[in-house]
Amino acid sequence: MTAAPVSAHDGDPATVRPRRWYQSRILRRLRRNKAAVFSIVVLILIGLIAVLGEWIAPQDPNKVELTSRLMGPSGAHLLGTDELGRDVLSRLLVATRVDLLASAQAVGLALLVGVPLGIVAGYAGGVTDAIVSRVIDALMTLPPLILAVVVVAILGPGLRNAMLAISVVIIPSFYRIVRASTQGARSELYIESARASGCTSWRILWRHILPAVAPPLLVQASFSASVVIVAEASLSFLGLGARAPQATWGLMLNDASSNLTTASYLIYPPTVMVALTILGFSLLGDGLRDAMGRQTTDGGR
Amino acid sequence: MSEPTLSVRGLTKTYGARPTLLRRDPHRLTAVDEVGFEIAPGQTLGLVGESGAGKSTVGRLVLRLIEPDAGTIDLLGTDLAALPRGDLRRMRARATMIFQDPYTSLNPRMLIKDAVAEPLIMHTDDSRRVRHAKALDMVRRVGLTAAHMERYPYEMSGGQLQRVAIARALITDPAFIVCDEPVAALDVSTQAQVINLLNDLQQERGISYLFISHDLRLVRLIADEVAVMRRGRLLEKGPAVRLFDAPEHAYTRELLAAIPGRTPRARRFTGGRSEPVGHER
Amino acid sequence: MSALETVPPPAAADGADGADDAVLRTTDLTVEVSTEHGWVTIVDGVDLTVGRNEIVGLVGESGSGKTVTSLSVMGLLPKNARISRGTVDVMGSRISALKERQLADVRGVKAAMIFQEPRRCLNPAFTVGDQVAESLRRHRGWSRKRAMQHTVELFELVEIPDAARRVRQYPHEFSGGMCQRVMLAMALACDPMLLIADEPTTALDVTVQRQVLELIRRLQGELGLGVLLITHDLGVVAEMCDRVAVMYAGQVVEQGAADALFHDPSHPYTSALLQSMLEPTRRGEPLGFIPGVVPPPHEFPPTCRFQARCAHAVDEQCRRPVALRELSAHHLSRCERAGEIDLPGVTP
Repeated sequence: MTAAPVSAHDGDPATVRPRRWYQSRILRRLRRNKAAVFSIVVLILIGLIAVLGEWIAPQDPNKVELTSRLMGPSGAHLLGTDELGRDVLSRLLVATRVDLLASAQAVGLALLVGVPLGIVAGYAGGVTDAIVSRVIDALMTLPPLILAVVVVAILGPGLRNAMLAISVVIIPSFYRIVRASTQGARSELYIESARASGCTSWRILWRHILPAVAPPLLVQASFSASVVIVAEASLSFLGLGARAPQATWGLMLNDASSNLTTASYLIYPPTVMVALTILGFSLLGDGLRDAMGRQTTDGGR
Repeated sequence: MSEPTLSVRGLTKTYGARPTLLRRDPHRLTAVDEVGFEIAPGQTLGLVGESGAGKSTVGRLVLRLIEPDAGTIDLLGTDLAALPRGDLRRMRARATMIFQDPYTSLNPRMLIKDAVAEPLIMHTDDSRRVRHAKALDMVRRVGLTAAHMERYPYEMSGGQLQRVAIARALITDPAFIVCDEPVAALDVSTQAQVINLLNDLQQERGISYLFISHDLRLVRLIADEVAVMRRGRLLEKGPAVRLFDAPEHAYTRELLAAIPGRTPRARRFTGGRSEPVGHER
Repeated sequence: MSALETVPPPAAADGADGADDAVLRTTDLTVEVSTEHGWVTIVDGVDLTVGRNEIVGLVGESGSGKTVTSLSVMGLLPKNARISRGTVDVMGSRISALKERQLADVRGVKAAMIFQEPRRCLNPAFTVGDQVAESLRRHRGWSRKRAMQHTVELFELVEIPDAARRVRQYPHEFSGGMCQRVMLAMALACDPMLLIADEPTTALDVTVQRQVLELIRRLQGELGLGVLLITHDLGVVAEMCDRVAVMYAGQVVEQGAADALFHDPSHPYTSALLQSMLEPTRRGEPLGFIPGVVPPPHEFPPTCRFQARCAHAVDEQCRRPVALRELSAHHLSRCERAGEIDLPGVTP
C-alpha cells in the first residue's frame, strides 16, 4: 500500500530510478521486527567471530600448557583453561568458524539435493512424484543417531562425515516444503499465463516457481541451521563428530563434562555460544516467516 | 473476406476416468461438446454463457493450453492440434491470452517491466536494452507511465494491472487474443477503460478477439459476433446486433431478460412466487 | 462533523411515520483500522437510516468503505478495526456499545446478514438443515425436532423445492443460487427486521441473480423487512432500491431517493458512475469512465476527497473539506458545486 494514487495525471519521466534490492517489502517488514533485528545483529557478530577468530584469539588455541591446567577465569585466561591448559577463550573463538562452516555444509548439501527433487516432484507430479516421495519417506524412517553411527562406521570418524549424516537427515524437510510450495505455485494463474505467453518449462521452473518456493525455504534453512548446530554438538560430544585436538563447541562440551565437578566454569562458554547461535537462527526464521507471509496489516476494505 | 484467423470444428473435451478393462464405460463429464466457430481478422467473437457452460475451457482449448479430445483448430493457417510442442510454444507469440483476475495472472514477485518484457525473451533475440525499450513503449501505449515499470503488482490497482496484462500479451504483436472475462474482477468505473483500450488496440492492429464473458452487457459493447454456450454446447451464434435484438433460442432470451435494468422502479418483479427453476440444483 | 439530521425514508410513509420507524440508524459512524501507517480512518462520519419495509442501496467502488460500514452494523468488524466515533442502533439496541456476548443475541434476532459467497459461509461437514436449525435452537431454545420442522417451513419460504428432503442434504449438493437461498433461510430464521445483503448476487449467474433478487424483494415486502443492499452493480440498485447512498473514500457523497439520484445526480462521482454503467449502447462508442483510483485510506486528502478525479473540480471551492448538505427534501450531496454544475444522469 505504499503506492501513490497513480493515474493518467502522473507525469511520465523518461527514466525512473530502478528499484534496489534493499527497498524490498520483506526487508522493510523485517526491519520493524525487533526480535528479527536482534537475531540479525547476533548472527552478524557470530559471523564476525567466525571470520576473525584466528586473529583475535589471544593465544594459540591448541597450545598445551600442562603447568596451567584447569585454571579458572583470570587476567591471563579470561575464560580459564581446560584440562590440557589450553586457553578456553581462544578455543571458543576458533571453534565458531568450524561450527558455522560445518552447519553451512550440512544445510547446503541438503538444499542441493532436496530443492531440485522437490521442484521436479511437485511440478511433474504423477509417477515421478510418487517414486521420489517414497524414497524420501524411507529416508525419514532412519533414526538420525543410528544413521550417523553407520556413516561414521563406513566413512570413518570426522566432522565432515558427521555433517554428511546430518545432511541426509534434514533432506526430507527441505524436499517436503519445496514440493508442497511447488504444487501450490503450479496451480497459480500466473503459471498458466506464463505458458500462454510461450515460456519454456525451464523458465517457468526457474523464474516463476523457484522464487515462489524461496521464502518458506529460507525459513526452513534458518531453522535447520540451528538444528545442525545442536546435532554437531551432540555428535561431537558422543565422539562421532570432530576429533581432538580440533576445537568445536561439541568437543569443548565433551571436555567440560568430564571435569564437571572440578571445573564447572568450562561448561558455560560453549553452551552460551550454542544457545546464542540457535536463538539467532530461530528468531531469524520466525522473522522471515512473518515478513514473507501474506500481507495482513494492510487497511481493509 | 480473407481467411479466418481462427477456425474451429468439432472441438470436444471430456473429463473423468479413462475406460479400463473392467469399466468400459466410466462416467465422463463432457465439458465441451462439438463446438465450432470462425473468427475473421480484426473481428471479435463474444462467447457468453453461465458458469460451468464450458466457455473458459473453449478459450484454453483453442490455444491448446488444454489438450482437446477431438476437433480441429485452424489458427492463422496452421493446424494447431497437430503442432509439435516446440512449434506450439513459438506459436504463442502470435496467439495468446488475457485472464480474468490480473491480481493472480501476474507473478507477484516480478517487476512490471520484467512481466511485460518476458514474452520477448522467449520469442526474440532482443538485447536487454531493446526489450526494455519495447516494454516501455507498450506500457505507455496501454496508458501507464515509466514509473509503473519499477513497481510490483501489489502496488497497483486492478485496472492498472489488467493494462499490464494487456501490454504483456501485445508485446509480441499477436494476431489473436483470447480474453477470458478480462474485466470481471474490476470496478465498474474502470471496466470501461479496459474495454475501450481493447477496442482501440483492435482497430489499430487488426487483432482478433475471442471475448469470453458472462455479462451480456459487456459482450454487446465489444463483439461483432456472439455465440451462446450452455452445458458445453453452442446453442446459438450470429451477428451481435441480430442476436441481441432478435434472439432465436429461448435460453438466449432468458439471459437477455435477466440483465439488471438501468432505470429505477422499472421493476419487472411481480412480487409473486417465481416458478421453480429446472436447471438449477 | 456536521450534525446532520438523519433523513426519514420516503418509503416509510406507507409504513409507520418518521424517524422512529428506522430499523437501522448510524449516526456519525467512524471506523478506524490499524495499518502500518497507524490507525487510519476508513469510514468517516456515515449517517445512514434504513426504515421498515424499504430497501436502501449502498454503492461504491472497492475501497470506498461500504463493506466495512455493513460489518460495523453487525458488530462483525475484524480485530484490527474499531468504531472510533458515532453510534449504530439496530431496532433500539445500541450495537456500538455492546459487548461481544451481547452482540451474539442481537445478530440473527434483530439483524441478519448474507454475503457474496454463500458456499463459504456454510460448513461442508453438516447438513444445511442442521445449520439453519442450529440458530433456532440457540436463540429460541427449541428442541431439535421443532427447529427442524420450522427449518422446512423456512426452506419453503425461500422457495427451495422439495424442502423436506433438501434439509437433509449437504452444502456441496446445492448450487450457488440455492446456497444463497439457504443463507437467506438462516438469516430469516429468527425473524430479524433488518437484513444486510453484501453483494448477495455478485458471484451468481445472471438468471440466478434475477431469481435471488426477486426472492429478496418478495420477502422484504411480505415480512416488512428493512434491507441494506450493498452492491457495485448500479443495474441491481436501479431495480431493487427505494433509496441509495453512494460512498466514496469512506464518506457518503450522495444520498437520496433512487429515482432522483439516477435521473438527476448531484454529485460528480454519482454521475460518473452512472456514465460508466454498462448499458447496451452500440458497439464502438467509447464508454465513460473515471480516471485514477480510490486513494488508499492513509492518503485520503483533507479536501474534497473526489477532487483529484473530478472533471468539475475548481481550485478554491474544492480545496477544503466538504460537508454533506441537503439540496432538496431527502436529497443530500457532498459537493460544493452541487446545483451550479449540470450533471448527466440516466434517462428512463
